[in-house]
Amino acid sequence: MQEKLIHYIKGIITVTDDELEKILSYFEPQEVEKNELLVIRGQTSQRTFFVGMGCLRIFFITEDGQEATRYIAFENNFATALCSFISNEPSLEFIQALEPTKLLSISHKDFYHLLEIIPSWEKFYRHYLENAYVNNTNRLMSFLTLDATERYKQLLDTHPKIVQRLPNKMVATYLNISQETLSRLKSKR
Amino acid sequence: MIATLIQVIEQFITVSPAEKKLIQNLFKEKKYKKGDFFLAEGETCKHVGFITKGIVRYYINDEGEEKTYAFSKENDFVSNYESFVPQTPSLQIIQALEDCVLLVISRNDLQQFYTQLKEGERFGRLVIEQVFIQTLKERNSFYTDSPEFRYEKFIRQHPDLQQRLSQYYIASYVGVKPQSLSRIRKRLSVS
Repeated sequence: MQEKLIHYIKGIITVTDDELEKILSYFEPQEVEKNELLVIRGQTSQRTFFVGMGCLRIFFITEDGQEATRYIAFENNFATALCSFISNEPSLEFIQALEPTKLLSISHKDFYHLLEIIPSWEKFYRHYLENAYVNNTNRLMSFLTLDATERYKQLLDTHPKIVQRLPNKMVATYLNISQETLSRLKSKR
Repeated sequence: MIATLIQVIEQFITVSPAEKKLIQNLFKEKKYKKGDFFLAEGETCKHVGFITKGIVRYYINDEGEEKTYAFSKENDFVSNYESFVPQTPSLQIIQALEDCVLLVISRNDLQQFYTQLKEGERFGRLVIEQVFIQTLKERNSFYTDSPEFRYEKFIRQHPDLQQRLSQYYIASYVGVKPQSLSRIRKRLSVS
Protein backbone atom coordinates (compact mmCIF):
# COMPACT_ATOMS: atom_id res chain seq x y z
CA MET A 1 0.00 0.00 0.00
CA GLN A 2 2.91 2.32 0.79
CA GLU A 3 4.17 1.77 -2.75
CA LYS A 4 0.93 3.23 -4.08
CA LEU A 5 1.26 6.32 -1.91
CA ILE A 6 4.90 6.80 -2.96
CA HIS A 7 3.88 6.55 -6.59
CA TYR A 8 1.11 9.09 -6.04
CA ILE A 9 3.40 11.58 -4.28
CA LYS A 10 6.17 11.23 -6.86
CA GLY A 11 3.64 11.86 -9.60
CA ILE A 12 3.21 15.38 -8.22
CA ILE A 13 6.45 16.48 -6.56
CA THR A 14 10.16 15.67 -6.51
CA VAL A 15 11.38 14.53 -3.09
CA THR A 16 14.66 13.14 -1.76
CA ASP A 17 14.68 9.69 -0.17
CA ASP A 18 15.10 11.28 3.26
CA GLU A 19 12.12 13.54 2.72
CA LEU A 20 10.00 10.67 1.46
CA GLU A 21 10.88 8.59 4.52
CA LYS A 22 9.93 11.50 6.74
CA ILE A 23 6.60 11.98 4.95
CA LEU A 24 5.69 8.28 5.09
CA SER A 25 6.55 8.09 8.79
CA TYR A 26 3.51 10.26 9.58
CA PHE A 27 1.03 8.08 7.68
CA GLU A 28 -0.65 5.32 9.68
CA PRO A 29 -2.24 2.22 8.17
CA GLN A 30 -5.87 1.54 9.01
CA GLU A 31 -8.52 -0.97 7.96
CA VAL A 32 -12.23 -0.28 8.00
CA GLU A 33 -15.31 -2.44 7.44
CA LYS A 34 -17.89 -1.79 4.78
CA ASN A 35 -20.32 0.99 5.88
CA GLU A 36 -18.04 2.13 8.73
CA LEU A 37 -17.92 5.89 9.29
CA LEU A 38 -14.49 7.52 9.50
CA VAL A 39 -15.77 11.08 9.96
CA ILE A 40 -19.11 12.25 11.27
CA ARG A 41 -20.78 15.66 11.18
CA GLY A 42 -19.61 17.98 13.95
CA GLN A 43 -16.23 16.29 14.27
CA THR A 44 -13.04 18.36 14.44
CA SER A 45 -9.36 17.31 14.33
CA GLN A 46 -9.53 15.86 10.83
CA ARG A 47 -7.30 13.36 9.10
CA THR A 48 -6.76 12.97 5.39
CA PHE A 49 -7.18 9.42 4.02
CA PHE A 50 -5.33 7.76 1.16
CA VAL A 51 -7.21 4.76 -0.22
CA GLY A 52 -4.92 1.78 -0.89
CA MET A 53 -7.75 -0.67 -1.49
CA GLY A 54 -11.51 -0.24 -1.41
CA CYS A 55 -13.61 2.87 -1.59
CA LEU A 56 -14.64 5.89 0.51
CA ARG A 57 -17.42 8.36 -0.03
CA ILE A 58 -17.85 11.88 1.33
CA PHE A 59 -21.46 12.94 1.87
CA PHE A 60 -23.64 15.41 3.71
CA ILE A 61 -27.28 15.56 4.73
CA THR A 62 -29.38 18.08 2.85
CA GLU A 63 -32.01 20.29 4.50
CA ASP A 64 -34.79 17.88 3.58
CA GLY A 65 -32.90 15.00 5.17
CA GLN A 66 -31.50 13.34 2.03
CA GLU A 67 -27.93 12.08 1.72
CA ALA A 68 -25.98 13.87 -1.00
CA THR A 69 -22.64 12.37 -2.04
CA ARG A 70 -19.99 14.96 -2.84
CA TYR A 71 -17.05 12.74 -3.70
CA ILE A 72 -16.08 9.11 -4.20
CA ALA A 73 -12.47 7.98 -3.73
CA PHE A 74 -11.37 4.62 -5.12
CA GLU A 75 -7.82 3.20 -4.91
CA ASN A 76 -4.96 5.70 -5.25
CA ASN A 77 -6.99 8.72 -4.24
CA PHE A 78 -7.18 10.95 -1.20
CA ALA A 79 -10.41 11.73 0.63
CA THR A 80 -10.70 14.55 3.18
CA ALA A 81 -13.44 16.61 4.82
CA LEU A 82 -11.53 19.53 3.36
CA CYS A 83 -13.27 22.60 4.78
CA SER A 84 -12.89 21.22 8.27
CA PHE A 85 -9.34 20.02 7.56
CA ILE A 86 -8.30 23.53 6.45
CA SER A 87 -10.21 25.59 9.01
CA ASN A 88 -10.37 23.25 12.02
CA GLU A 89 -14.07 24.04 12.27
CA PRO A 90 -16.52 21.15 12.88
CA SER A 91 -17.16 19.06 9.77
CA LEU A 92 -20.46 19.37 7.92
CA GLU A 93 -19.59 16.17 6.06
CA PHE A 94 -19.39 12.45 6.75
CA ILE A 95 -16.82 10.01 5.34
CA GLN A 96 -17.87 6.38 4.99
CA ALA A 97 -16.31 3.19 3.62
CA LEU A 98 -18.44 1.64 0.86
CA GLU A 99 -16.33 -1.54 0.70
CA PRO A 100 -13.87 -3.17 3.11
CA THR A 101 -11.12 -0.56 2.81
CA LYS A 102 -7.38 -0.31 3.52
CA LEU A 103 -6.10 3.17 4.17
CA LEU A 104 -3.11 5.26 5.06
CA SER A 105 -4.04 8.36 7.02
CA ILE A 106 -2.31 11.42 8.44
CA SER A 107 -3.56 13.93 11.02
CA HIS A 108 -4.07 17.62 10.32
CA LYS A 109 -1.30 18.44 12.78
CA ASP A 110 1.27 16.14 11.15
CA PHE A 111 0.24 17.20 7.65
CA TYR A 112 0.80 20.87 8.53
CA HIS A 113 4.05 19.96 10.29
CA LEU A 114 5.26 18.53 6.97
CA LEU A 115 4.52 21.91 5.38
CA GLU A 116 7.02 23.43 7.81
CA ILE A 117 9.82 20.93 7.31
CA ILE A 118 9.50 19.85 3.65
CA PRO A 119 9.28 22.77 1.19
CA SER A 120 7.90 20.71 -1.71
CA TRP A 121 5.00 19.52 0.48
CA GLU A 122 3.52 22.99 -0.11
CA LYS A 123 3.32 22.20 -3.82
CA PHE A 124 1.78 18.80 -3.11
CA TYR A 125 -0.94 20.39 -0.98
CA ARG A 126 -1.55 23.27 -3.41
CA HIS A 127 -1.95 20.76 -6.19
CA TYR A 128 -4.37 18.68 -4.11
CA LEU A 129 -6.48 21.70 -3.08
CA GLU A 130 -6.62 23.21 -6.56
CA ASN A 131 -7.83 19.96 -8.08
CA ALA A 132 -10.34 19.34 -5.31
CA TYR A 133 -11.65 22.86 -5.80
CA VAL A 134 -11.99 22.39 -9.55
CA ASN A 135 -13.75 19.02 -9.09
CA ASN A 136 -16.20 20.44 -6.60
CA THR A 137 -17.00 23.48 -8.66
CA ASN A 138 -17.50 21.45 -11.82
CA ARG A 139 -19.85 19.13 -9.96
CA LEU A 140 -21.84 22.04 -8.66
CA MET A 141 -21.98 23.53 -12.16
CA SER A 142 -23.31 20.23 -13.48
CA PHE A 143 -26.22 20.45 -11.02
CA LEU A 144 -27.01 23.97 -12.18
CA THR A 145 -26.67 23.45 -15.90
CA LEU A 146 -27.38 19.76 -16.71
CA ASP A 147 -30.54 17.70 -16.31
CA ALA A 148 -30.57 14.15 -14.86
CA THR A 149 -30.02 12.42 -18.22
CA GLU A 150 -27.09 14.67 -19.09
CA ARG A 151 -25.55 14.22 -15.64
CA TYR A 152 -25.79 10.43 -15.94
CA LYS A 153 -24.19 10.52 -19.38
CA GLN A 154 -21.41 12.77 -18.09
CA LEU A 155 -20.80 10.39 -15.18
CA LEU A 156 -20.47 7.44 -17.58
CA ASP A 157 -17.97 9.42 -19.65
CA THR A 158 -15.84 10.70 -16.80
CA HIS A 159 -16.19 8.19 -13.92
CA PRO A 160 -17.64 4.93 -15.32
CA LYS A 161 -16.25 3.04 -12.31
CA ILE A 162 -18.80 4.72 -10.04
CA VAL A 163 -21.66 3.23 -12.05
CA GLN A 164 -19.99 -0.16 -12.56
CA ARG A 165 -18.80 -0.76 -9.04
CA LEU A 166 -21.30 0.88 -6.69
CA PRO A 167 -24.92 0.01 -5.84
CA ASN A 168 -27.67 2.08 -7.48
CA LYS A 169 -28.52 3.74 -4.21
CA MET A 170 -25.02 5.31 -4.02
CA VAL A 171 -24.98 6.33 -7.68
CA ALA A 172 -28.36 8.02 -7.17
CA THR A 173 -27.10 10.05 -4.18
CA TYR A 174 -24.06 11.05 -6.29
CA LEU A 175 -26.26 12.31 -9.13
CA ASN A 176 -28.80 13.76 -6.70
CA ILE A 177 -31.69 11.86 -8.30
CA SER A 178 -34.06 9.16 -7.02
CA GLN A 179 -33.27 5.47 -7.48
CA GLU A 180 -36.34 5.15 -9.72
CA THR A 181 -35.06 7.86 -12.05
CA LEU A 182 -31.66 6.18 -12.14
CA SER A 183 -33.19 2.79 -13.09
CA ARG A 184 -35.12 4.50 -15.88
CA LEU A 185 -31.95 6.15 -17.18
CA LYS A 186 -30.04 2.87 -17.01
CA SER A 187 -32.69 0.90 -18.90
CA LYS A 188 -32.87 3.52 -21.66
CA ARG A 189 -29.28 2.85 -22.70
CA MET B 1 0.77 50.12 -7.88
CA ILE B 2 3.09 47.14 -7.77
CA ALA B 3 3.76 48.25 -4.18
CA THR B 4 0.13 47.50 -3.30
CA LEU B 5 0.38 44.06 -4.87
CA ILE B 6 3.53 43.34 -2.88
CA GLN B 7 1.83 44.50 0.31
CA VAL B 8 -1.02 42.08 -0.32
CA ILE B 9 1.43 39.23 -1.01
CA GLU B 10 3.28 40.12 2.20
CA GLN B 11 0.09 39.53 4.16
CA PHE B 12 0.66 35.86 3.34
CA ILE B 13 4.44 35.37 3.08
CA THR B 14 7.81 37.07 3.63
CA VAL B 15 9.30 38.60 0.49
CA SER B 16 12.99 39.60 0.11
CA PRO B 17 14.08 42.72 -1.86
CA ALA B 18 15.36 40.55 -4.73
CA GLU B 19 12.04 38.72 -4.84
CA LYS B 20 10.19 42.05 -5.01
CA LYS B 21 12.17 42.87 -8.15
CA LEU B 22 11.18 39.53 -9.62
CA ILE B 23 7.50 40.10 -8.84
CA GLN B 24 7.76 43.47 -10.58
CA ASN B 25 9.05 41.75 -13.71
CA LEU B 26 6.51 38.92 -13.70
CA PHE B 27 3.35 41.07 -13.49
CA LYS B 28 2.41 43.32 -16.44
CA GLU B 29 -0.04 46.19 -16.38
CA LYS B 30 -3.13 45.75 -18.53
CA LYS B 31 -6.12 48.05 -19.01
CA TYR B 32 -9.71 46.98 -19.64
CA LYS B 33 -12.53 49.28 -20.75
CA LYS B 34 -15.92 49.01 -19.10
CA GLY B 35 -17.66 46.00 -20.70
CA ASP B 36 -14.41 44.28 -21.78
CA PHE B 37 -13.86 40.64 -20.88
CA PHE B 38 -10.99 39.42 -18.70
CA LEU B 39 -12.28 35.95 -19.59
CA ALA B 40 -14.90 35.36 -22.30
CA GLU B 41 -17.25 32.36 -22.48
CA GLY B 42 -15.48 29.35 -23.99
CA GLU B 43 -12.04 30.93 -23.67
CA THR B 44 -9.30 29.15 -21.67
CA CYS B 45 -8.05 31.16 -18.70
CA LYS B 46 -4.31 31.74 -19.10
CA HIS B 47 -3.73 34.60 -16.65
CA VAL B 48 -4.23 35.60 -13.06
CA GLY B 49 -4.94 39.29 -12.46
CA PHE B 50 -4.64 41.66 -9.51
CA ILE B 51 -7.03 44.63 -9.62
CA THR B 52 -5.45 48.01 -8.92
CA LYS B 53 -8.47 49.96 -10.16
CA GLY B 54 -12.05 49.00 -11.01
CA ILE B 55 -14.58 46.22 -10.49
CA VAL B 56 -15.20 42.97 -12.35
CA ARG B 57 -18.08 40.55 -12.10
CA TYR B 58 -18.19 36.77 -12.51
CA TYR B 59 -21.24 35.32 -14.20
CA ILE B 60 -22.56 32.41 -16.23
CA ASN B 61 -24.87 32.46 -19.18
CA ASP B 62 -27.65 30.04 -18.27
CA GLU B 63 -29.68 29.58 -21.45
CA GLY B 64 -29.67 33.28 -22.18
CA GLU B 65 -30.07 34.41 -18.59
CA GLU B 66 -27.01 36.00 -16.99
CA LYS B 67 -26.36 34.80 -13.45
CA THR B 68 -23.88 36.91 -11.51
CA TYR B 69 -22.27 35.06 -8.63
CA ALA B 70 -19.36 37.25 -7.50
CA PHE B 71 -17.63 40.61 -7.75
CA SER B 72 -13.97 41.53 -7.29
CA LYS B 73 -12.55 45.01 -6.75
CA GLU B 74 -9.32 46.84 -5.90
CA ASN B 75 -6.69 44.63 -4.19
CA ASP B 76 -8.46 41.39 -5.14
CA PHE B 77 -7.03 38.66 -7.35
CA VAL B 78 -9.00 37.59 -10.41
CA SER B 79 -8.95 34.20 -12.14
CA ASN B 80 -11.03 31.14 -12.85
CA TYR B 81 -9.36 28.08 -11.29
CA GLU B 82 -11.78 25.70 -13.06
CA SER B 83 -10.37 26.79 -16.40
CA PHE B 84 -6.86 27.86 -15.34
CA VAL B 85 -5.82 24.64 -13.55
CA PRO B 86 -6.89 21.99 -16.10
CA GLN B 87 -6.59 24.46 -19.05
CA THR B 88 -10.11 23.79 -20.29
CA PRO B 89 -12.58 26.25 -21.87
CA SER B 90 -14.39 28.39 -19.32
CA LEU B 91 -18.16 28.34 -18.75
CA GLN B 92 -17.74 31.33 -16.50
CA ILE B 93 -17.30 34.84 -17.75
CA ILE B 94 -15.31 37.63 -16.10
CA GLN B 95 -16.21 41.14 -17.24
CA ALA B 96 -15.05 44.67 -16.33
CA LEU B 97 -17.94 46.74 -14.91
CA GLU B 98 -15.82 49.92 -14.84
CA ASP B 99 -12.64 50.92 -16.65
CA CYS B 100 -10.12 48.67 -14.92
CA VAL B 101 -6.36 48.50 -14.43
CA LEU B 102 -4.97 45.05 -13.63
CA LEU B 103 -1.54 43.60 -13.02
CA VAL B 104 -1.58 40.27 -14.82
CA ILE B 105 0.71 37.27 -14.67
CA SER B 106 0.77 34.48 -17.25
CA ARG B 107 0.54 30.80 -16.39
CA ASN B 108 4.24 30.25 -17.15
CA ASP B 109 5.30 33.26 -15.12
CA LEU B 110 3.16 32.07 -12.22
CA GLN B 111 5.18 28.83 -12.25
CA GLN B 112 8.29 31.06 -11.99
CA PHE B 113 6.70 32.83 -9.04
CA TYR B 114 6.04 29.49 -7.32
CA THR B 115 9.53 28.12 -7.89
CA GLN B 116 11.72 31.26 -7.65
CA LEU B 117 10.26 32.80 -4.50
CA LYS B 118 11.35 31.00 -1.38
CA GLU B 119 7.75 30.93 -0.10
CA GLY B 120 6.09 31.06 -3.52
CA GLU B 121 4.43 27.65 -3.18
CA ARG B 122 3.21 28.55 0.29
CA PHE B 123 1.57 31.69 -1.12
CA GLY B 124 -0.24 29.59 -3.74
CA ARG B 125 -1.41 27.12 -1.10
CA LEU B 126 -2.65 29.81 1.31
CA VAL B 127 -4.60 31.52 -1.47
CA ILE B 128 -6.35 28.33 -2.63
CA GLU B 129 -7.17 27.43 1.01
CA GLN B 130 -8.87 30.78 1.40
CA VAL B 131 -10.69 30.57 -1.93
CA PHE B 132 -11.87 27.04 -1.14
CA ILE B 133 -13.48 27.99 2.17
CA GLN B 134 -14.91 31.28 0.90
CA THR B 135 -16.48 29.71 -2.17
CA LEU B 136 -18.09 26.88 -0.26
CA LYS B 137 -19.58 29.30 2.27
CA GLU B 138 -20.82 31.49 -0.55
CA ARG B 139 -22.43 28.47 -2.17
CA ASN B 140 -24.18 27.39 0.99
CA SER B 141 -25.52 30.90 1.35
CA PHE B 142 -26.97 30.75 -2.15
CA TYR B 143 -28.93 27.62 -1.27
CA THR B 144 -29.95 28.39 2.27
CA ASP B 145 -30.25 32.20 2.69
CA SER B 146 -33.26 34.27 1.64
CA PRO B 147 -32.77 37.06 -0.94
CA GLU B 148 -33.34 39.63 1.86
CA PHE B 149 -30.57 38.10 3.92
CA ARG B 150 -28.23 37.85 0.92
CA TYR B 151 -28.85 41.51 0.12
CA GLU B 152 -28.22 42.62 3.71
CA LYS B 153 -25.03 40.58 3.83
CA PHE B 154 -23.88 42.02 0.52
CA ILE B 155 -24.40 45.58 1.81
CA ARG B 156 -22.54 44.74 5.02
CA GLN B 157 -19.61 43.17 3.23
CA HIS B 158 -19.36 45.67 0.36
CA PRO B 159 -20.83 49.02 1.50
CA ASP B 160 -18.86 50.79 -1.27
CA LEU B 161 -20.04 48.49 -4.07
CA GLN B 162 -23.68 49.40 -3.54
CA GLN B 163 -22.87 52.87 -4.88
CA ARG B 164 -20.66 51.65 -7.70
CA LEU B 165 -22.80 48.87 -9.18
CA SER B 166 -26.06 49.09 -11.10
CA GLN B 167 -29.11 47.54 -9.43
CA TYR B 168 -29.27 45.06 -12.29
CA TYR B 169 -26.03 43.34 -11.24
CA ILE B 170 -26.85 43.42 -7.55
CA ALA B 171 -30.25 41.83 -8.24
CA SER B 172 -28.60 39.13 -10.32
CA TYR B 173 -26.19 38.41 -7.44
CA VAL B 174 -28.95 38.32 -4.83
CA GLY B 175 -30.84 35.97 -7.14
CA VAL B 176 -33.97 38.05 -7.86
CA LYS B 177 -35.37 40.27 -10.62
CA PRO B 178 -34.51 44.02 -10.36
CA GLN B 179 -38.16 44.84 -9.44
CA SER B 180 -38.03 42.43 -6.50
CA LEU B 181 -34.77 44.02 -5.36
CA SER B 182 -36.40 47.46 -5.17
CA ARG B 183 -39.16 45.91 -3.07
CA ILE B 184 -36.57 44.35 -0.76
CA ARG B 185 -34.76 47.70 -0.50
CA LYS B 186 -38.01 49.49 0.34
CA ARG B 187 -38.93 46.96 3.02
CA LEU B 188 -35.49 47.20 4.59
CA SER B 189 -35.47 51.03 4.59
CA VAL B 190 -38.86 51.06 6.35
CA SER B 191 -37.93 48.60 9.07
